[in-house]
Amino acid sequence: MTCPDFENKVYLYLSGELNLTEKNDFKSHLKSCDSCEKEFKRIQETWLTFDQLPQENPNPEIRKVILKQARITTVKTSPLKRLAASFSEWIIPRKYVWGISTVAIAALLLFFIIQPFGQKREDQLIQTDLLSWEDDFFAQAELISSEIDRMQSGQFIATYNFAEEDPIEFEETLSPMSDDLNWIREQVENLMRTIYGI
Amino acid sequence: MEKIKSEEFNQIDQLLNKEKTIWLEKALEQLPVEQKQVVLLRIYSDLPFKEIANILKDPLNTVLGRMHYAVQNLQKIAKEEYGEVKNQ
Repeated sequence: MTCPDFENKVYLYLSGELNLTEKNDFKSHLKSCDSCEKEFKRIQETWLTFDQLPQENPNPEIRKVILKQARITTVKTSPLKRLAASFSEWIIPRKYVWGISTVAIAALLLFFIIQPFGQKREDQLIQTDLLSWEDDFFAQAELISSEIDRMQSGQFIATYNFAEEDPIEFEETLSPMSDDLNWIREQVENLMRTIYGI
Repeated sequence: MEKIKSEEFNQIDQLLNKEKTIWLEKALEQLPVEQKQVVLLRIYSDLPFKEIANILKDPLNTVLGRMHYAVQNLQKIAKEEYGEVKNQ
């Protein structure tokens, strides 16, 4: 490793992102280079201060800055985000996207409520259907609940990118969405309570 | 006696840490947006730099460079407010 490499490697080293060989190279360079060692100590001091910051719980002002510049880039893991992204691809204004997603989830819940009661079947069939319906319902309820948790936590921010074209509009849609999500969670919990006495 | 002293030191440490956190959050506000993004994603969201580079769609070296400028700027702000602090 050479001095020009130091500037970049130091952050990867502090972040624990260097492999064993790179780490050893870095350390041996520090031993042989006084100016890099001095600079390392200065950077390390600031880095240790970072450790005192609370993770996933930035103050509201900082959170606002992140949200203002955020835009969706990762849709691989979240069905809800996939839904939102597909709406975006149809060039529906973002302020409607979450509203539509919410309606879709509410419709899904309604479907699960109505499904077992709306059809008359033979006993055995009903039994089988109910079992599969229970599985589906639990899976859906768990999915929705975990999505809500994710969206209301720091992980939500992590899946967003920066340089939003219209950040203010995005932020405006996020707050009301939070109420919608809480409402959905409440409905899911009520439903579980009613049906299973949980 | 030593136990009492160490408890006192702990309390002082906690206060200093709290003070540092408040200072750092204020200082971060003074950084250019692109530097602040990298610091916040690395520290608050605990993402590795390689992941941050993916999210921001920037080369890893650019992200690391921004981190370096952010650290330098934070040190500069600290120096302006508290004067030169020598490493012990």
